[in-house]
Amino acid sequence: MMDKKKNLALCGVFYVFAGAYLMGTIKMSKDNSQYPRFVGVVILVVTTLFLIQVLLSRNTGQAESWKIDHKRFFTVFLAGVIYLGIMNIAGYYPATFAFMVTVLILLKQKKLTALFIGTGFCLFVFAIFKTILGVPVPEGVLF
Amino acid sequence: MNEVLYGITHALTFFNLTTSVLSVAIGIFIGALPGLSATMGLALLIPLTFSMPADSGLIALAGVYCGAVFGGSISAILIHTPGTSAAAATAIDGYQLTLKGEAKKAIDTSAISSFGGAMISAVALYLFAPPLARLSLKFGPAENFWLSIFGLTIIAGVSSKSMLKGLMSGAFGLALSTIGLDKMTGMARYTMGNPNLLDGLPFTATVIGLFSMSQVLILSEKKVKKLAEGVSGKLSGKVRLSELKKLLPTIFRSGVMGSIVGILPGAGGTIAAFIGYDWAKKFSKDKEQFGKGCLEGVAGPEAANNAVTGGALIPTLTLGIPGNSVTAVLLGGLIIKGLQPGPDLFTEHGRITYTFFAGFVVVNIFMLILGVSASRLFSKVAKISNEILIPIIFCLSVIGSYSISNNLFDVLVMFVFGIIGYFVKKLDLNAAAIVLALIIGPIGEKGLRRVFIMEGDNSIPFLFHSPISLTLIALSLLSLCTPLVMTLFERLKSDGEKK
Repeated sequence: MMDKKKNLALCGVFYVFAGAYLMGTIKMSKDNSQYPRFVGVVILVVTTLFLIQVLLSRNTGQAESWKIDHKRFFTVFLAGVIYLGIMNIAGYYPATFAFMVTVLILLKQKKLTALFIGTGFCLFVFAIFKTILGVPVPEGVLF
Repeated sequence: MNEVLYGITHALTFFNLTTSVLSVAIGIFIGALPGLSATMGLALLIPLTFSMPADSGLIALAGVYCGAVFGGSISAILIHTPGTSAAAATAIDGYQLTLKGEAKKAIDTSAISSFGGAMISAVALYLFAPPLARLSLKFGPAENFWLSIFGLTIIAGVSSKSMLKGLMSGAFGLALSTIGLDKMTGMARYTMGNPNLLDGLPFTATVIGLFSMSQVLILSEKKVKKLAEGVSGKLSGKVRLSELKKLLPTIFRSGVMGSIVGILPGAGGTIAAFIGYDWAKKFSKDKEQFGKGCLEGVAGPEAANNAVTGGALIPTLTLGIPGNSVTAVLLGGLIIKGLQPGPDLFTEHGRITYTFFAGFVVVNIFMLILGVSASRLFSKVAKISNEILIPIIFCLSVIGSYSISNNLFDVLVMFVFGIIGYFVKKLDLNAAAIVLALIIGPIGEKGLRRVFIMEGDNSIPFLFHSPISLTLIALSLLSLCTPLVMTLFERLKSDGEKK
């Protein structure tokens, strides 16, 4: 049942997307909107064909389960969002060190291992990426 | 000929040799880690190649590609968990050899066969790429439009579990490709007033998001217990010369077949590997040994999936149609370097292209050397837990997306596409089709609009006027019908077996 619901939800998302996408062409000139309108119609047609296929399909009951460890998943996700936010202020290295150590500890790694990996990674990025390859890293207000 | 020789000598410079060794090592490392793909590795590495000369950058990408395809066999052999999907067939007999205490022998066989397969595909690359590129000279706006449609139908039709989902992914990618300034009128489309989007979506950040950041979210879903029993023992066993002689026909057969499968866009390494395994079994004198730890069962799929690497480069470099998701990302790397697929690659940029070809051979030589000599070291990679990989891939994705234009907006785009990529994977959509559409969408649009400008009321008949256009339309329809016919055929076959 889950698989059918999942696919119906997918159709819904695509219809909303196609609708918003086609709405965006209203303000465009004829030349500008020609191709996006073609693409929008293609999305609608393909989604409708898929919807028909989903509605006609029998439910096999063998849908793949979508089980996740919510605590673990959202820990990483939120830590990531905070990491991207503080990078603007603290700069890449301090933010990365803090993010790595925090995530590793939250994912039940030993504190010493977390500190070792966090330090090692920052040194690796500085030595290889920044110094040898000249790859720029994000700079913050402080660093 | 001069350019071929130039390519060989240039691929052997100290810098390019160092680049080859390091990129192959990185590729094997990534491939050996279950859950990480060659595409993800390539997406992360593109920004690193930005500061390199074009030929060295392409060699680095080829090194990661070839290394990762071989690396996938290490975890398949040692812990029965294919590092990449292309190594799934290798796991069947490879793991049995590990249980017999012959893990080293299996990895060496894999390295030798991978090298053999890749060399055969390198020959195909040298022979077939230039004439195919010359054919693309005959392509006008109408043909380019149909070529983009053909590319999309192929990758969407073959690579997805559902063809319609593949097409939906491709159409979604086409929509994304319209974001930014309209190159023909100079007007902004779908930028929401954000000047960062005037140049369109940042390609590298989008690709890193879809393939790497999404993998961080997938790995974060739940703790996976790795089956590490196979690695705990000592790696032992050596391939004898008599055994190697016995393997040569299998390697040759699989190498040729893999190269052909690679040229066919959309087919890919996994299909080639299973055909390679099947052929190895069919032609073997020890059929009953298959599934119990047979060297031919490792050689067949490994030669085939590595032969795909060179084969898949042929349509990518000549027509701009990538054979799979890895070459789609590689094509992006090529375009970022200012190189367009087609005849120019073999004339104007001939030196770069032939250095890349020679580099492809060199990286495979290093893959053989590293595969045989450092298999013990790489076997330890399979033990690294996902908990350690999660923050490392996250932080590398941040550098990768930032480094192209030093803009934190790109990091944000990467993160957003990480979330989109996560749902793409969960809903069985096709990330490769989205990336391909991002690349070929503008080519198709340009072709179509030129036809409308040039031909006016005669546009529609003009789209169907040339034999090349008609061939591309027929191929597009064929690529859409083939999966349907195959499914129908398999259903009829299974119904027949039940009866």
